[in-house]
Amino acid sequence: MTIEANTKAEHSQKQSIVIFGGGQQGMAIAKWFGERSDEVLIVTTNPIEKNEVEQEGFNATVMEYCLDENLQAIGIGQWVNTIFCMFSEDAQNVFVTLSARALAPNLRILCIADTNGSGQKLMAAGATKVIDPYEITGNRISELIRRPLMVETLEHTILSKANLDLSEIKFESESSIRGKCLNEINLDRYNLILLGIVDQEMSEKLMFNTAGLDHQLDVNDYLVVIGPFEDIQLFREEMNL
Amino acid sequence: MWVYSDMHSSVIEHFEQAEFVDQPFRPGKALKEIVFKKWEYMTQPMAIIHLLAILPTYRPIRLFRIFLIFRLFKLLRYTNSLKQFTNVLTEKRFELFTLGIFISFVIFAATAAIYIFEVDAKKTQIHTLYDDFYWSVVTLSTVGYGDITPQTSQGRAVAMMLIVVGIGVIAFFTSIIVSAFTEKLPEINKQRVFNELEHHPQHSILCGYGRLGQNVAEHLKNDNERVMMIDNNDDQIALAKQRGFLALRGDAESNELLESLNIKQAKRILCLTDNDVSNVYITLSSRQLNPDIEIIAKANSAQNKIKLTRAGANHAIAPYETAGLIAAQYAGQPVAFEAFFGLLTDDDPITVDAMRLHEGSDLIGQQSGAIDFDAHKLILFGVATETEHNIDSLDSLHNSDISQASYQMEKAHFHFNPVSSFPLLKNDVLIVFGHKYSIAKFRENHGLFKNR
Repeated sequence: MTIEANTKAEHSQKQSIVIFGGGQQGMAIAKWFGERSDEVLIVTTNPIEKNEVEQEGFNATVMEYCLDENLQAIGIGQWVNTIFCMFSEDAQNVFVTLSARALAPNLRILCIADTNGSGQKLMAAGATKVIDPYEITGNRISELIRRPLMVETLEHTILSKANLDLSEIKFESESSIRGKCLNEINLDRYNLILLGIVDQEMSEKLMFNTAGLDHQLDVNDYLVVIGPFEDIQLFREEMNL
Repeated sequence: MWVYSDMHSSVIEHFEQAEFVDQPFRPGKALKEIVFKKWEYMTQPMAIIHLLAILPTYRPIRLFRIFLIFRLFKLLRYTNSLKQFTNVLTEKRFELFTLGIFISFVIFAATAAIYIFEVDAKKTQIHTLYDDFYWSVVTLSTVGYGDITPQTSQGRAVAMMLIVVGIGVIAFFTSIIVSAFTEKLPEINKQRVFNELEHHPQHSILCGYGRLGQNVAEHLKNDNERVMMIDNNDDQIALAKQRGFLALRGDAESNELLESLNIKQAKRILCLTDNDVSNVYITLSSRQLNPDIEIIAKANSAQNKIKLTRAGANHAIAPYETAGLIAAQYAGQPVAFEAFFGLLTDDDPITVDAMRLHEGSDLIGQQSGAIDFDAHKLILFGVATETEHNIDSLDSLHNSDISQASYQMEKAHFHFNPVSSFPLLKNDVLIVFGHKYSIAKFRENHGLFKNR
């Protein structure tokens, strides 16, 4: 049985999210998607790992990621929009990133970097974002020491599966609040906090809501809000965003 | 004195802070801080000694010359090293004793021989046994002043032999001292570290100087925390030392080592080794040795988090799981996440802070809506309460179409974006977003001080 037949037989549905590597990180991501787990496919090189992943209730496949045909067979370059490179070896991640980027220029590729300096290689290979677990955890620990309560709160709300999301709302041209200033937006009806705005024309940094700024909302600005999922949805709908 | 602290930076900081919170700039406060800093420097013992030592340069008052002696007090800081030096020498007393006997014998023989050959010679410079003894010592030590020289051939033969033996003796003596020190060096270093930790408690102990450990250590260093590294790998220890940390090669699982590191007075211990079994073990023994210590442990496998907490860790962190979660969330909301994590880093002046309502704050008993966060340019993210009773009282107080979101945490409840009638009680914690100056001003205005 060829790989192609194999994947087709097992996964009639086309998954839009592919995770390479079924280790701890891969599983953490898969679990995060929760109800949307049907859209997730985990690719592994190890049949035993595949079984473990399937026992947890996720779609999994064993394949040779070195071949472009195989990557195309699972939909890279077609219906897949995000891949996570979570292999434990940096070399594997670089290879997958490079192959996937060649097949799909607009794919969102998120990678984990395990050793010093591999972050740059992954970026060069075409990753959208490289995450260094040690750096993130190091930051987390130092914050934990400095402001334990704050970290605990964030961990149980925004950074967990609790129904409190951090969300970006992209500003489209037809919205009713176009041209308004930040402080003119009335959020009283929603259980939402407007943290600020990101204008990518200026910088990636957040312009904080209360800094007394009168930035007029423009197309392609992002509003950064925090709130329960339903309220965010409601806000989106009512504002035509 | 001006090297110790910059006056202008204090002034600028106060001015900026005042400007940000729309308050008139009051130079008095900045001035007070500057004077305090200078005074702090001037009253250090070393600074006083320095002052007394330079006073004699004022010529007219000759009495001040007596203070020249104070310069010698600067040597006090070396007393410890002197003690260590004698310690090392006593360790080698057997070798030194043997050498001493050998030297006495050689000198005795040479003195006797040269006396016999030289005392009756023409133009002799040797008249007593004491002259002989002096000559032998000068020659044996290879110093050889040349004020007394042998005149006979026999005497010169004795001199040549004495010189050869002397070279050997010096070499032997040097090697004894050197080897004593090389043997003792690790121990001296260890002792120095232990002494330092004993004199300055409230330090952090970091077990495992791997990649995570290195990262955390840098953060702690930036926060001016004193960190002690333990690792059982020589390379990692060398690296830590090179980066200026106190570091010791050793097994953190040993109670003895932890006790020598003054764990009883340590502020926290970080178990960051790559082995979960070690981490659990270190956590457990640290908790036993010091019930109040803050323990942060790394779970290499996410399922061990619960075991670490059970062993007594205050916080258990699974790096791989955390990284995975962050990757997943980033995938959905890249712009928002980039912005939000920007806030959590230090270089951004906008930050998140948690403020506990201690006794004495005028906010206790108020409703959250009564606090003017806008005037302080702050956003209230939510309130964390220790008990759930706030929610019960809420139901009767308020019937709103806005659903209240409450989140269960380990020891607290978190109320997101509370309604304006939310009552604030003692020990509730406000979590706010804002500029660090605004937050400082808010704390000041409402009697919310850190660590009280």
